[in-house]
Amino acid sequence: MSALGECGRWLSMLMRRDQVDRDLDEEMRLHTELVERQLRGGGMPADEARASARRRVGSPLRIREDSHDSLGWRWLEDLAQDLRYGIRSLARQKAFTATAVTTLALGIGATTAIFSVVSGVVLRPLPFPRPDRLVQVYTTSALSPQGGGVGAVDRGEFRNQSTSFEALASYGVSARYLQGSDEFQRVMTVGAERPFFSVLGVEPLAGRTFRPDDPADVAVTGEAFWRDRLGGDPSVIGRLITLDGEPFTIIGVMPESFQFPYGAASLLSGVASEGRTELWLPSGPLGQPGRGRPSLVGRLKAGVPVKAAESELAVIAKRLEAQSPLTNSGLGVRLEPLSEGVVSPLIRRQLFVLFGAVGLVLALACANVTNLSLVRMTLRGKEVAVRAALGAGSFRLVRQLLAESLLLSLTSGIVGLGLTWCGTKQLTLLAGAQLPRAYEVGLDWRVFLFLLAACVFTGVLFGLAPALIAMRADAQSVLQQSGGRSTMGVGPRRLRDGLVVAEVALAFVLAVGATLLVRELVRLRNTDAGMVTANVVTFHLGHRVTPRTDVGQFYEIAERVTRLPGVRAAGFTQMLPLQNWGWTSNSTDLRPRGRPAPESLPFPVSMRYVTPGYFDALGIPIREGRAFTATDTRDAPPVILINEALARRHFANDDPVGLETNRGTIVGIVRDVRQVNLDRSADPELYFPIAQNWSQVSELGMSLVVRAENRPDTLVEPVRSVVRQVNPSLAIFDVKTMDRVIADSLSDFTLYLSLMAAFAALALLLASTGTYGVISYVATSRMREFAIRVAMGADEARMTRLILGQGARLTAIGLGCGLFVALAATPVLQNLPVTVRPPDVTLLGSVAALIGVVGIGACVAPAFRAAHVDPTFVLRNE
Amino acid sequence: MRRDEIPPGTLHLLILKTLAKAGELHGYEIAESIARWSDGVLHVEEGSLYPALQRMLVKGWVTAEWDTTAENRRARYYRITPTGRKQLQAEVSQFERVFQAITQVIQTA
Repeated sequence: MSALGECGRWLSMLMRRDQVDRDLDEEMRLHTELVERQLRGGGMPADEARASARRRVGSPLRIREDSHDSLGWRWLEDLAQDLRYGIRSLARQKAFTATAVTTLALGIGATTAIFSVVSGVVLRPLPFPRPDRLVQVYTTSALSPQGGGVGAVDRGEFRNQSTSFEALASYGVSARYLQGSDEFQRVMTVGAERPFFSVLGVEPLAGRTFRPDDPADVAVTGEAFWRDRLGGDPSVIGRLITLDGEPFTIIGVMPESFQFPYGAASLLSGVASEGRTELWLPSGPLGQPGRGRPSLVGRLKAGVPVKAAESELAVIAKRLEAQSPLTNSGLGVRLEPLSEGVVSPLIRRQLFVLFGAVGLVLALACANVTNLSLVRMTLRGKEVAVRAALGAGSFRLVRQLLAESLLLSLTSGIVGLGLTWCGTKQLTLLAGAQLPRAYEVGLDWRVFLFLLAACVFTGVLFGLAPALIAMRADAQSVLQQSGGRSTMGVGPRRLRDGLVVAEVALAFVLAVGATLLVRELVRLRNTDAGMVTANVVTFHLGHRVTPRTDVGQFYEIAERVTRLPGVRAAGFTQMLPLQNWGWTSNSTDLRPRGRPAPESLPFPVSMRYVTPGYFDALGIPIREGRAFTATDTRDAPPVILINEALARRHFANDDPVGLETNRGTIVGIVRDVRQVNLDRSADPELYFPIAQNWSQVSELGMSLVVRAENRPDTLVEPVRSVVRQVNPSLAIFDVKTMDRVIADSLSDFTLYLSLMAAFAALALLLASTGTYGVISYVATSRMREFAIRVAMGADEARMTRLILGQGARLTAIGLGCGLFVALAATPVLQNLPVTVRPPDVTLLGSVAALIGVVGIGACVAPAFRAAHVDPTFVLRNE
Repeated sequence: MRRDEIPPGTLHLLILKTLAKAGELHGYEIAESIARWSDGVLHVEEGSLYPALQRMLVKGWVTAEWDTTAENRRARYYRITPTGRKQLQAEVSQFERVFQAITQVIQTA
């Protein structure tokens, strides 16, 4: 309180410091007069009294300075002077200032942009009250040790028996079809139990959230949905929307920042157009649990640790297992803080690796600017010496130089902020669908604090070295040097060489990293995914399960599309390969009839639902037996196909074709197709004909795959019209070529790679300009020596070798250090989005060669200048 | 008349005490009062008095206001604040403690 008052008084006095000075002057005048009068009263002659009084009181200027000192204004005044001086000197040396500001702005801006992502996604607490008490609950089994959703029965028991939670709420994501004026739009909706919003504790922007007694036909929308699809209607509460033909009443609008569950659409990433979560509906009719195994989120009671709640639920799970060992065998429980559930440790590590890489770029930028200011310092040695000789204290000198470098780094920070702003916007745009919480990334106080810290840190870093060197310099020796030409002492020279070595090393590390990633991208691009993607175009068809839609329509569409001119084959699948979605079952659920089940540990089996033309359309060969045909109808005996992985794993010694199982007769073996991602070999899979499994086909819709003779884009309109003719209520979206689907499946990696590559390129550029700067400075400062050498008969080749040799030496040492660091850093590769093989000799060698060429290339111009020095000209100008 | 330097650290104490005793004084009067009440032993340097007063203004121990003297000259009058009185008490007790300790040391020697 009193400190605050003091601060206020200090500031207010500082604000009217002219007034303060005038007041002081007037006081001093009065004081002097009074002293003078007193002296005269003591019998002193008038003029003597005046002089004596002046002497006694002292110089008013001095007292003013002392009083500024005692007010703590002195350093402010000095600072202002330092800054004025710094601005003048930076403005004079435009080339230096421009280079330094550009370099630093790039470094600081890029680092801050990545930091803003790290901050928004990882560092910032989840935007819910007391987020530390929110946990994600998974039930685990032998099949899925990581765990998955929690079934209704278990959920009920957890809720009844556990005492650790304030509340638990389950939620699941599904696709619904919103009736527009003339067409259907697909919306990803979250079916959530009614306590969902109160568990998370977020208030709506307008209206209200679910109440325990709400009927099933109410809906809470997201802000984006309200704005884009409901036209931002201010009286939206109470309005009806039609989903899958049923009316829902809107009761509330959630703020944009509420995106839970994050990337609902990405949970079914095949249909992720944008990761936004837009619509929440109460799950299940009132009083009845929903179906399936939805995700479960809970809020712990205050003071209950996650571990304690986990052991409590584990005990309950053991009890449930004992009660019904058949359905609950191996039931376990895993609890995870919600923050980790939302942003997985893997994503965190990837972001940190990226942050580390950009940090290296900033370090390089710093090294470059340090080098520049070292040169500048050498050129200014005389000025500094003169100032020191005139009585400037060394502390004052260092402060002056630091003020200058801080001025420079802060200017760079302001320029860099622009870069950060653009970079952050681009990054969130590009990564929005893949990165959870990407919509929360923005320039908040954390980012600004980081920017400021980065500026101060870099400013001190590259300002301190030259300042300390300047301080150490002996004024006399500098001033005595002939003609004011100064060369560097041993210390600064070593520092400069060291900086070049470090720059080369860092650039090497980043370049190796980027090259490794490029190599993996090439590998993935060339991976045989098990299908032929040229000339294939895909359509996603959404359907409401109404009496108007039936399985026959899909067969009809496929058949009519196949007959279109220019079409080779067409077929449906529920979800395209590489769209990373599928239903899995357990290998023990596939039991051959009439013989013992194969003995193997249970493993997950993915289930695919297709129409007969699918395999032809994607060029997936049938290895054995036959494909599905139009005769595998609902009334025909059930048939299935298995892929090679399943055949290998489950029927290693048998020929499975013809085998009858509980799921149907195995009629053939299909080639393995990489379904999850290009980096992962095929999982064991079962294929079913849609006609025999219509009830399994989800509301997500079906993907139509069409192989064209050529020019697949010309087929889009004809296919659309076929679909419209068969069933106008089918929504068509996500029309993409199969190549595009593959590219999209790599998009997060491609983004990651492009960032790494950009950083590496920047590092290379900085390292080469750094090398150039040092070598060309060395060449210039030794020009006289060179002139003498040339005059004594040294030829061009020898002079060129002299300079190039120096550059080559520094580059080689840098490469050596870089190699060491790169090898030491290989474990970091485990954290990248794809499997990255460690670097081999060829790769290291070629990157080293590239950097060597760039480094020596940077020395060519200085070497040329040195070799063509004109001795008479240089020596005469001494 | 011999004039002694004010012991370091006691200037604030002297100024505060003077103001507490006399109420409202301008700078010259403060210096004079200290000299008078110390029988001319203590002399406050103008060069330290005014910076000290500025500092005490910031600290909030004194306030200052322009007024006119008896001879109708403009002068800046200082007055002690309640915070200043608290500070005075603290400084007096601290001084007494130190003074007593010093006396003790001198007497044992």
